[in-house]
Amino acid sequence: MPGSTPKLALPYPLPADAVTDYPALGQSLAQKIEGLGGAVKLWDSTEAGVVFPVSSIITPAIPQTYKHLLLAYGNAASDSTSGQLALRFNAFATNYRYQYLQGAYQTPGAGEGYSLGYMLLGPCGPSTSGAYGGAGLALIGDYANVVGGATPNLLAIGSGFFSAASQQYNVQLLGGMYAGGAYAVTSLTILATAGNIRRGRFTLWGIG
Amino acid sequence: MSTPEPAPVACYEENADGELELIHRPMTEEELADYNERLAAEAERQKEAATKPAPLSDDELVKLRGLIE
Repeated sequence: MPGSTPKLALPYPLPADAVTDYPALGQSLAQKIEGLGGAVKLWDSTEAGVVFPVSSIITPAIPQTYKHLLLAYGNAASDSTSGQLALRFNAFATNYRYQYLQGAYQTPGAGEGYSLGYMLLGPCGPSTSGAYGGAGLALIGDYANVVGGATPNLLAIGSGFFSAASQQYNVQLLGGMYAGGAYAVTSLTILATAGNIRRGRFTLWGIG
Repeated sequence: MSTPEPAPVACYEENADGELELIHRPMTEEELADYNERLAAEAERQKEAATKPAPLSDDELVKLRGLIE
Protein backbone atom coordinates (compact mmCIF):
# COMPACT_ATOMS: atom_id res chain seq x y z
CA MET A 1 0.00 0.00 0.00
CA PRO A 2 1.43 3.43 -0.86
CA GLY A 3 1.82 6.04 1.83
CA SER A 4 0.13 9.41 1.76
CA THR A 5 0.97 12.86 3.03
CA PRO A 6 -0.82 13.89 6.26
CA LYS A 7 -2.46 17.13 5.13
CA LEU A 8 -3.40 16.72 1.46
CA ALA A 9 -3.34 12.90 1.33
CA LEU A 10 -1.06 12.90 -1.72
CA PRO A 11 -0.09 9.27 -2.42
CA TYR A 12 3.52 8.09 -2.69
CA PRO A 13 5.21 4.66 -2.85
CA LEU A 14 6.96 3.29 0.23
CA PRO A 15 10.32 1.45 0.10
CA ALA A 16 8.50 -1.57 1.49
CA ASP A 17 6.24 -1.73 -1.54
CA ALA A 18 7.71 -4.64 -3.46
CA VAL A 19 5.43 -4.07 -6.42
CA THR A 20 3.71 -0.75 -6.90
CA ASP A 21 1.13 0.01 -9.53
CA TYR A 22 2.75 3.21 -10.71
CA PRO A 23 0.13 4.12 -13.34
CA ALA A 24 -2.60 3.87 -10.68
CA LEU A 25 -0.47 5.77 -8.17
CA GLY A 26 0.35 8.45 -10.74
CA GLN A 27 -3.31 8.80 -11.70
CA SER A 28 -4.35 9.07 -8.06
CA LEU A 29 -1.70 11.73 -7.47
CA ALA A 30 -2.69 13.68 -10.59
CA GLN A 31 -6.37 13.62 -9.61
CA LYS A 32 -5.55 14.81 -6.11
CA ILE A 33 -3.50 17.73 -7.43
CA GLU A 34 -6.17 18.57 -10.04
CA GLY A 35 -8.80 18.71 -7.31
CA LEU A 36 -6.82 20.98 -5.02
CA GLY A 37 -8.12 24.12 -6.74
CA GLY A 38 -6.38 27.36 -5.92
CA ALA A 39 -5.77 30.11 -8.43
CA VAL A 40 -4.53 29.35 -11.93
CA LYS A 41 -3.24 32.17 -14.09
CA LEU A 42 -5.18 32.15 -17.35
CA TRP A 43 -3.88 35.26 -19.04
CA ASP A 44 -1.64 38.27 -18.43
CA SER A 45 -1.50 41.29 -20.72
CA THR A 46 2.23 41.89 -20.29
CA GLU A 47 3.21 38.28 -20.83
CA ALA A 48 0.84 38.11 -23.80
CA GLY A 49 2.59 41.11 -25.36
CA VAL A 50 -0.22 43.66 -25.49
CA VAL A 51 1.17 46.89 -26.94
CA PHE A 52 -0.40 50.09 -25.62
CA PRO A 53 -2.30 52.23 -26.40
CA VAL A 54 -5.25 50.00 -27.24
CA SER A 55 -8.89 50.93 -27.62
CA SER A 56 -9.85 47.64 -25.98
CA ILE A 57 -8.43 44.28 -24.98
CA ILE A 58 -10.40 41.12 -25.67
CA THR A 59 -9.12 38.15 -23.69
CA PRO A 60 -8.80 34.71 -25.26
CA ALA A 61 -11.68 32.28 -24.64
CA ILE A 62 -11.97 31.51 -20.94
CA PRO A 63 -12.07 27.80 -19.98
CA GLN A 64 -15.39 26.96 -18.30
CA THR A 65 -13.75 24.71 -15.73
CA TYR A 66 -13.12 26.97 -12.75
CA LYS A 67 -15.47 28.16 -10.05
CA HIS A 68 -14.75 31.89 -10.14
CA LEU A 69 -12.70 34.43 -12.08
CA LEU A 70 -10.43 37.05 -10.61
CA LEU A 71 -9.16 39.99 -12.68
CA ALA A 72 -6.47 42.31 -11.31
CA TYR A 73 -5.06 45.45 -12.90
CA GLY A 74 -2.33 47.87 -11.94
CA ASN A 75 -0.47 50.95 -13.17
CA ALA A 76 -3.42 51.63 -15.48
CA ALA A 77 -4.10 54.90 -17.29
CA SER A 78 -6.56 55.96 -19.95
CA ASP A 79 -7.74 58.91 -22.05
CA SER A 80 -10.92 59.10 -19.97
CA THR A 81 -11.01 62.30 -17.94
CA SER A 82 -13.23 60.56 -15.43
CA GLY A 83 -10.39 58.09 -15.00
CA GLN A 84 -12.41 54.93 -15.33
CA LEU A 85 -11.88 51.53 -16.84
CA ALA A 86 -14.82 49.45 -17.99
CA LEU A 87 -15.60 45.80 -18.62
CA ARG A 88 -17.82 43.74 -20.88
CA PHE A 89 -18.75 40.06 -20.84
CA ASN A 90 -18.57 38.07 -24.10
CA ALA A 91 -18.15 41.32 -26.11
CA PHE A 92 -21.81 42.20 -25.44
CA ALA A 93 -22.04 45.97 -25.99
CA THR A 94 -25.40 46.83 -24.34
CA ASN A 95 -27.60 46.07 -21.32
CA TYR A 96 -25.19 46.53 -18.44
CA ARG A 97 -25.96 47.90 -15.02
CA TYR A 98 -23.58 49.09 -12.35
CA GLN A 99 -23.48 50.79 -8.99
CA TYR A 100 -20.55 52.23 -7.11
CA LEU A 101 -19.63 53.86 -3.84
CA GLN A 102 -16.57 56.05 -3.75
CA GLY A 103 -14.41 58.37 -1.78
CA ALA A 104 -12.97 61.11 -3.99
CA TYR A 105 -10.59 63.40 -2.09
CA GLN A 106 -12.69 64.20 1.00
CA THR A 107 -16.05 63.66 -0.63
CA PRO A 108 -18.07 60.46 -0.39
CA GLY A 109 -20.18 59.68 -3.42
CA ALA A 110 -22.18 57.09 -5.27
CA GLY A 111 -23.32 56.51 -8.80
CA GLU A 112 -25.19 54.11 -11.01
CA GLY A 113 -25.74 53.25 -14.61
CA TYR A 114 -28.26 51.09 -16.40
CA SER A 115 -28.87 50.06 -20.00
CA LEU A 116 -25.28 51.03 -20.67
CA GLY A 117 -22.59 49.68 -22.95
CA TYR A 118 -20.31 48.54 -20.12
CA MET A 119 -19.88 47.93 -16.40
CA LEU A 120 -17.41 50.12 -14.57
CA LEU A 121 -14.30 48.16 -13.60
CA GLY A 122 -12.54 50.76 -11.49
CA PRO A 123 -10.46 53.96 -11.42
CA CYS A 124 -7.30 54.54 -13.41
CA GLY A 125 -4.86 57.36 -14.09
CA PRO A 126 -4.84 60.02 -16.84
CA SER A 127 -3.04 59.83 -20.14
CA THR A 128 -1.35 63.15 -19.40
CA SER A 129 0.92 62.02 -16.61
CA GLY A 130 2.97 58.95 -15.99
CA ALA A 131 2.94 59.64 -12.27
CA TYR A 132 -0.65 58.63 -11.69
CA GLY A 133 -2.30 55.31 -12.21
CA GLY A 134 -4.93 53.00 -10.88
CA ALA A 135 -5.16 49.49 -9.51
CA GLY A 136 -8.05 47.20 -8.80
CA LEU A 137 -9.34 43.71 -8.26
CA ALA A 138 -12.56 42.25 -9.66
CA LEU A 139 -14.34 39.01 -8.83
CA ILE A 140 -16.71 37.40 -11.32
CA GLY A 141 -18.45 34.78 -9.25
CA ASP A 142 -19.65 31.42 -10.65
CA TYR A 143 -18.94 32.72 -14.15
CA ALA A 144 -19.64 29.47 -15.97
CA ASN A 145 -23.01 28.77 -14.39
CA VAL A 146 -26.28 30.19 -15.70
CA VAL A 147 -28.58 28.12 -13.47
CA GLY A 148 -31.21 30.47 -12.08
CA GLY A 149 -31.38 32.53 -15.24
CA ALA A 150 -28.85 35.24 -14.47
CA THR A 151 -25.39 35.97 -15.78
CA PRO A 152 -22.62 36.19 -13.20
CA ASN A 153 -22.14 39.49 -11.45
CA LEU A 154 -19.04 41.57 -11.02
CA LEU A 155 -17.77 42.85 -7.69
CA ALA A 156 -14.72 45.09 -7.79
CA ILE A 157 -12.61 47.40 -5.70
CA GLY A 158 -10.14 49.87 -7.07
CA SER A 159 -8.28 53.09 -6.55
CA GLY A 160 -6.70 55.62 -8.85
CA PHE A 161 -5.25 59.12 -8.87
CA PHE A 162 -6.32 60.64 -12.12
CA SER A 163 -6.07 64.40 -11.64
CA ALA A 164 -3.50 66.22 -9.56
CA ALA A 165 -5.22 69.54 -10.25
CA SER A 166 -8.49 68.57 -8.61
CA GLN A 167 -7.00 66.14 -6.10
CA GLN A 168 -9.11 63.41 -7.60
CA TYR A 169 -7.80 60.36 -5.84
CA ASN A 170 -10.62 57.87 -5.94
CA VAL A 171 -11.33 54.71 -4.01
CA GLN A 172 -14.32 52.76 -5.27
CA LEU A 173 -16.40 49.71 -4.47
CA LEU A 174 -18.25 48.63 -7.57
CA GLY A 175 -20.87 46.11 -8.62
CA GLY A 176 -22.04 45.32 -12.10
CA MET A 177 -24.11 42.89 -14.13
CA TYR A 178 -25.18 42.05 -17.64
CA ALA A 179 -28.96 42.32 -17.84
CA GLY A 180 -29.50 41.06 -21.36
CA GLY A 181 -30.04 37.36 -20.59
CA ALA A 182 -28.40 34.33 -19.04
CA TYR A 183 -24.96 33.58 -20.41
CA ALA A 184 -21.80 32.05 -19.03
CA VAL A 185 -18.82 34.38 -19.26
CA THR A 186 -16.59 33.14 -22.08
CA SER A 187 -14.41 36.22 -22.63
CA LEU A 188 -13.78 39.66 -21.15
CA THR A 189 -13.39 42.97 -22.95
CA ILE A 190 -11.45 45.63 -21.05
CA LEU A 191 -11.80 49.22 -22.22
CA ALA A 192 -11.73 52.82 -21.04
CA THR A 193 -15.07 54.55 -20.55
CA ALA A 194 -13.84 57.01 -23.19
CA GLY A 195 -10.80 56.98 -25.47
CA ASN A 196 -8.00 54.44 -25.23
CA ILE A 197 -6.23 52.51 -22.51
CA ARG A 198 -2.77 54.07 -22.36
CA ARG A 199 -1.02 51.54 -20.15
CA GLY A 200 -1.56 48.94 -17.46
CA ARG A 201 -1.11 45.33 -16.55
CA PHE A 202 -4.13 43.07 -16.50
CA THR A 203 -4.06 39.53 -15.14
CA LEU A 204 -6.85 36.96 -15.11
CA TRP A 205 -7.02 33.92 -12.83
CA GLY A 206 -9.40 30.99 -12.61
CA ILE A 207 -10.11 29.98 -9.03
CA GLY A 208 -11.07 26.59 -7.65
CA MET B 1 -10.51 65.86 -23.18
CA SER B 2 -8.94 66.27 -26.60
CA THR B 3 -10.21 63.69 -29.05
CA PRO B 4 -7.79 60.76 -28.92
CA GLU B 5 -7.10 58.87 -32.13
CA PRO B 6 -8.64 55.42 -31.88
CA ALA B 7 -5.98 52.85 -31.03
CA PRO B 8 -6.02 49.23 -32.20
CA VAL B 9 -7.97 46.43 -30.53
CA ALA B 10 -5.83 43.78 -28.85
CA CYS B 11 -7.50 40.40 -29.37
CA TYR B 12 -6.85 36.81 -30.35
CA GLU B 13 -7.01 35.07 -33.70
CA GLU B 14 -6.30 31.52 -34.72
CA ASN B 15 -3.11 31.28 -36.79
CA ALA B 16 -2.31 28.84 -39.59
CA ASP B 17 -1.22 26.20 -37.04
CA GLY B 18 -4.57 26.45 -35.28
CA GLU B 19 -3.04 28.21 -32.28
CA LEU B 20 -4.44 31.36 -30.71
CA GLU B 21 -2.26 34.37 -31.39
CA LEU B 22 -2.45 37.90 -29.98
CA ILE B 23 -3.04 40.47 -32.71
CA HIS B 24 -3.54 44.24 -32.73
CA ARG B 25 -6.11 45.06 -35.37
CA PRO B 26 -7.90 48.27 -36.38
CA MET B 27 -11.41 48.74 -35.02
CA THR B 28 -14.34 47.49 -37.03
CA GLU B 29 -16.96 50.04 -38.13
CA GLU B 30 -19.20 48.88 -35.30
CA GLU B 31 -16.41 49.23 -32.73
CA LEU B 32 -15.52 52.66 -34.06
CA ALA B 33 -19.14 53.80 -33.75
CA ASP B 34 -19.17 52.52 -30.16
CA TYR B 35 -15.86 54.30 -29.46
CA ASN B 36 -17.20 57.60 -30.82
CA GLU B 37 -20.44 57.19 -28.88
CA ARG B 38 -18.53 56.75 -25.63
CA LEU B 39 -16.37 59.81 -26.42
CA ALA B 40 -19.53 61.86 -27.05
CA ALA B 41 -21.04 60.63 -23.76
CA GLU B 42 -17.85 61.64 -21.94
CA ALA B 43 -17.95 65.11 -23.54
CA GLU B 44 -21.59 65.48 -22.47
CA ARG B 45 -20.72 64.35 -18.93
CA GLN B 46 -17.91 66.92 -18.77
CA LYS B 47 -20.24 69.64 -19.99
CA GLU B 48 -22.76 68.80 -17.28
CA ALA B 49 -20.03 68.66 -14.63
CA ALA B 50 -18.76 72.11 -15.67
CA THR B 51 -22.18 73.70 -15.20
CA LYS B 52 -22.86 71.94 -11.89
CA PRO B 53 -21.98 74.02 -8.80
CA ALA B 54 -18.96 72.74 -6.89
CA PRO B 55 -19.76 70.95 -3.61
CA LEU B 56 -19.37 73.04 -0.46
CA SER B 57 -16.10 72.80 1.41
CA ASP B 58 -16.02 71.70 5.05
CA ASP B 59 -15.61 75.34 6.17
CA GLU B 60 -18.56 76.44 4.05
CA LEU B 61 -20.69 73.63 5.45
CA VAL B 62 -19.84 74.69 9.02
CA LYS B 63 -20.78 78.31 8.19
CA LEU B 64 -24.03 77.19 6.60
CA ARG B 65 -24.93 75.05 9.62
CA GLY B 66 -24.22 78.09 11.83
CA LEU B 67 -26.57 80.24 9.76
CA ILE B 68 -29.33 77.62 9.89
CA GLU B 69 -29.01 77.14 13.64
